[in-house]
Amino acid sequence: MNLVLTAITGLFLSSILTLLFGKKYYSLIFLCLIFTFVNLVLSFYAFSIPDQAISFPWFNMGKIAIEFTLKIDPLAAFMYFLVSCISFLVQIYSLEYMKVDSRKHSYFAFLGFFTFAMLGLILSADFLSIFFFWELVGVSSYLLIGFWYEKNEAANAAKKAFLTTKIGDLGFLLALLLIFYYFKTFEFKSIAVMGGNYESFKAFGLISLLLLMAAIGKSAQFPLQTWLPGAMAGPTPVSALIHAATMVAAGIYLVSRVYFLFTPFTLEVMLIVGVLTALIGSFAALSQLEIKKILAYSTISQLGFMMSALGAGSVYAAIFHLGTHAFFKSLLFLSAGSITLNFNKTSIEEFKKAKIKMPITQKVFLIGLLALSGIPPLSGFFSKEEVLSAVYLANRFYFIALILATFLTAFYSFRLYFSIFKKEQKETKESGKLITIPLMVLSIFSIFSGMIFFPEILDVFLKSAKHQNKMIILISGLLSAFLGIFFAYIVYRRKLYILKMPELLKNLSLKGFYFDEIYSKLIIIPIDFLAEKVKLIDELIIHGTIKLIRKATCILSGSGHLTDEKVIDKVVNLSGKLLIREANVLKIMQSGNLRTYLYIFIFGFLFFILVF
Amino acid sequence: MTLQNLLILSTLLFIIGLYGVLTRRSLIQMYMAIELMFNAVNINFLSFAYFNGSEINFKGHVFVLFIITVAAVEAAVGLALILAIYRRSNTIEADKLTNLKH
Repeated sequence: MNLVLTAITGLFLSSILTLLFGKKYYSLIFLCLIFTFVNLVLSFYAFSIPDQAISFPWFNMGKIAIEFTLKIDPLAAFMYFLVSCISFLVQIYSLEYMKVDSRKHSYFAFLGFFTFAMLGLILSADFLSIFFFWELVGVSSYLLIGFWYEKNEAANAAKKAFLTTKIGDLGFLLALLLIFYYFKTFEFKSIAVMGGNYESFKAFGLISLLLLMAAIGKSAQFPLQTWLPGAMAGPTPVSALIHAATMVAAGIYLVSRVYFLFTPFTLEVMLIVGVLTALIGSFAALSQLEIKKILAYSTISQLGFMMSALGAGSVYAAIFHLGTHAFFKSLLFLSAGSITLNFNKTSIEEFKKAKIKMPITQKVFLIGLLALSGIPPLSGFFSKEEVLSAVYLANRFYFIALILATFLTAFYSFRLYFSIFKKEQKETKESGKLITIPLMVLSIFSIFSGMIFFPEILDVFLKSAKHQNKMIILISGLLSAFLGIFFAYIVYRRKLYILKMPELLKNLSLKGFYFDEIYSKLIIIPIDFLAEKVKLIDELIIHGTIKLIRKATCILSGSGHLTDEKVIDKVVNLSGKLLIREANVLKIMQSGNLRTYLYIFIFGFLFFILVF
Repeated sequence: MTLQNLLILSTLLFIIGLYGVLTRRSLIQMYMAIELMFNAVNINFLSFAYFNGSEINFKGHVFVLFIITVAAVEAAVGLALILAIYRRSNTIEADKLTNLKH
């Protein structure tokens, strides 16, 4: 455990150092890489050790001591491996991709910082620390999306991402308040133990709904999914790491971690949200033109799958899908980056006339898309089957919806592939080793992680108890995927447009169901309007006051010399005159005349005797 | 001879002496009035000593003796001063001695 802590702290420190001194000492970047690699290696070790926890005192509130609790258990170890692995591969990729950028050192610092925060989030074993790292991850995302802040689009996207996830964080904060109010502690273990009685159960209901809100924000579910397409304005490796594999998985991870907290009602809501999101995402991806936007909506859709799995009751399916998705989605993003880097085109339209060939990238891209569509024996197939099984057992109707989403997934994936890589291939380019090697590593994971990491599945698969149901699920899953690919082939490779999508649907898809426009009209414009009005009032009051003061000062100072003469001189002269008068009175006493002195002496004395 | 009568006597003498100090021009006349005041005070003390106390009491007499002695000494000193003043400014009128006036 201590080794892990050292490695993580090392990563944190190296990211800070790189941020501060990276411009001068370029090699500090490699420190971040080294520490990420160390963490990767340690994650293997983490799999082997038994559950361990460690806590650090943080602060005290009266008698109650709040601590940072970190824990390693199988789930955490798996995520630890996932995050370190993908982060490391992305960083190597970035060495080539961000070669020409002038602010490379900050980029690597932010990446390192993000990895640190994500690892902290994974290892947290109490609500307050997970929230702490949750927010840190949000900040890293903001910094990285808006990395090229000179571009307005990027800066705005970063703000949008941060604020939208903040809405979810509001839910998290309220949940924290409730948790502390009911349980007087933040630790997962203690709360799980306390959760026996009915009182806690009611609390669980509300708390779980709020935590669901947080997960919806972070994992870009309906209705807070609008930030993810915009986040594509950041560098591609960032999209791969944060917005495909890790940060957006944080919401799923949170739910998995404290799954005991979730009541049937919340799970039902979660299932609905997940299915809706899966459909919205896959539908919107159908008509997108930019490669990265397609992948972004695809991520939203797949996260919807994971959320539905959680809602249906299977944490196992969700985490499995999270893992495989992390690998093939980051593979897809990184290959998209490779394509863009070589041909300088970011959208499908630009590739219409081009006939390109990229030996390695093309193959790994294909592998990633096959995994995404759920074709056996790639990993995506196994995890998707698990998700579909779970949802089938929960609700037939939602299962059908997910089958539809699977079909759409396959369709848009191969629309993407066929639009970029044609039969005729003239222009050949390929990226450097630093790019292709991570791509190949990821493709290996995409192929084998289904079978190797979860070998039981093959057994369960081949001989399952509910033979009939399993067959239905298996067949519908495979059928929808193959049909999707087939239709995409027909439409985009053979160019036989059998169905023309109605203009309305096409726009609905392209604009992502107009969520951005709706939110803009409903929320942003009213708020801007109010803000303008408030600003006016502000000006009125503050400016008004300042003008008044200015006038008063002018009047006073204008009549200054008058005041000076009349008032001040009078006072001074008067005091002088009074003084002289008094002095004249007192002068009598100093007459130098003996008799006068005698008089004063006698009568003064008598006066005192009589009066006192 | 009651206490009251003697006291009235001493008061009157005192006032006459006071009047003399304040009104006389000559220093010696002033001084004579001061002596008168001394004697008035003496009578005051002796009258209290005689009429007070059921037993014979000599406290008042002792104090009066002191006063007489002091008066005598003071007479010597005072007259010496007046002599010195006369030698210096050739006058002993109080009004004329205004060296202390600014």
